[in-house]
Amino acid sequence: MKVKEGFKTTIGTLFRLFPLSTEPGLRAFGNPSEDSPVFVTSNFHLTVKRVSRYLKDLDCYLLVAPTSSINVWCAAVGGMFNAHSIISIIKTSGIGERVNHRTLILPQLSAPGVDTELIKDETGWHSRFGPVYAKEIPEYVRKGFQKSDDMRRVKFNLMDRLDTGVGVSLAFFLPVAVILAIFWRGWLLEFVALGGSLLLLMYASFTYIPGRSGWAKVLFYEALVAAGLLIYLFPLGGGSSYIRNLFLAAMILVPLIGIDFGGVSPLYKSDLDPLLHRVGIHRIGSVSFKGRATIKEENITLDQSECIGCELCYDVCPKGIYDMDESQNVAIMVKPDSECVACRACILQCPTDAISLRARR
Amino acid sequence: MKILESAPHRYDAGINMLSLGRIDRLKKEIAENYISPGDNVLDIGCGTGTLAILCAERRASVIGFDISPQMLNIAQRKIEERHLGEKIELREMGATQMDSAFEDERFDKVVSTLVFSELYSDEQKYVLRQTFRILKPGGLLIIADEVKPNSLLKRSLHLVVRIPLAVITYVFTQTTTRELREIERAITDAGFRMIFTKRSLLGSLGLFVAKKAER
Repeated sequence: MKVKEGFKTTIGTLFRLFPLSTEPGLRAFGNPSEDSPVFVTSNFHLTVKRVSRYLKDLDCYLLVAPTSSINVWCAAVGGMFNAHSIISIIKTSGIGERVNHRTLILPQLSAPGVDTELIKDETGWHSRFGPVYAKEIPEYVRKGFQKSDDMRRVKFNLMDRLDTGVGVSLAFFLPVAVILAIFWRGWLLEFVALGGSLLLLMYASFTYIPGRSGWAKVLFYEALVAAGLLIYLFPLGGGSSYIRNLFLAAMILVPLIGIDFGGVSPLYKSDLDPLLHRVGIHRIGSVSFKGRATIKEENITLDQSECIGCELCYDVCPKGIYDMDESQNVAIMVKPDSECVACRACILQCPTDAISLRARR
Repeated sequence: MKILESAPHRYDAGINMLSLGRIDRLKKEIAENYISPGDNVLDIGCGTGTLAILCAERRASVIGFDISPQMLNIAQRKIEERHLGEKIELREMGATQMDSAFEDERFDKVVSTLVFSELYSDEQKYVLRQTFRILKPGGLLIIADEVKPNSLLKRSLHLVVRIPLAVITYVFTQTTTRELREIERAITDAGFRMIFTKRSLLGSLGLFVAKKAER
């Protein structure tokens, strides 16, 4: 069983672009009582695995909601993690008979998809948004379910970057490697070595590279390789066609590795989705990216006259765009629109529709 | 259901390909053997409406519900083409809304094809409990679905046929189904008595008929 689990997790980590399912339902950790907190997550195998790691020393319940086996943020933005996923798991799991309170703690990144008012109307359960990262949950519980600003922010540290880079890129690398192995074996080793090191380099240095979007960063790497080629050709004479070809191969690989460099990171908008959308591709498989695509041409606007100071936008924004003006009791935008990752959490959560999208002037 | 929704206009073709035409024959069999004129029938996850239409053609009154509006649009069109609008009511809702949608002992028959294999196990139990509640005493639950063959030999044979078929079907239609396990146990746990089960030759497609006891 343990071997099988480990195998599943390894495959899931390496090929995370493909949904890997785990059974929705109720999980208990420690010795939960009637007062124990109830957390919610998605039914993507890796997600449940990682969340469980941080809950195992607490006394609590975890509801694994049906989200088409897709991770929390992607499922919430893509429409698979919504109020109905949660209503369904509340009704079918019997959690209401286990605890005497009616409060769910949702992952903050489910905010783009979950209509908490609908959950309350249908089931009587209240929702609050916990930290972005499961590893912050023990600290969040210790602090009496208070969330610091740091817990509200998405980050992209070195381990996350390498993890994402390898996970996202293998789905492209492996088929190409297989094709090369069959038809062009002479280049297989070069492809693996060059592609692999470019991949690791690009993701490792991601946050240090100038550029305010994924593609701007890709352009920088491309310029770097081109500069390398020019130096090799002119000052050094460019003797070997083999090395010239390696440079050219790198120039092809860099944009392929970075094809959605912004979109795979939690820090930037996708550059690829709007382009696909414009050429008429509105979905890949079951994932529609209409919303993510159009927001690129629109700006988030906040109408303060409609704001009631509920702090929800401030609570759910993973980039800290909003802050509260305590004297006026309204939300204010404290960061430029370019910081926004277009997750739409604030738009859905705002109870008075004070936040909306306006076409860019 | 959730996976099938992504390409509703290809659903009918896809599912027929995947089941080699058997699912359509099974739906006809359900309507002919179990549906009588005047029956109140509920179709859980009616999809594109094939079975609901077959039941209505046997002069039953049918309510069909599905979570996918795209699938229901296709069902609505098929119903209008056959002038069965009087006999079939379609509703857009999910299975877990059954508790508030239907009163007790409302239906004579509840049918459901290729739906249970798409539900997670707690959801199956919930739907079976609700079905038991809304069926009249003596009413029938009729489920047709993909099942895991029960002998190793059949399972291996099934895999040999199923994997290439599933790949071809997915490539052309982007639809697929999952297989159902231990459904009979869940049905009897909800209070029903099994009265008939049938598996296709390779054991991969099953028909399950269960009865709620007479009062």
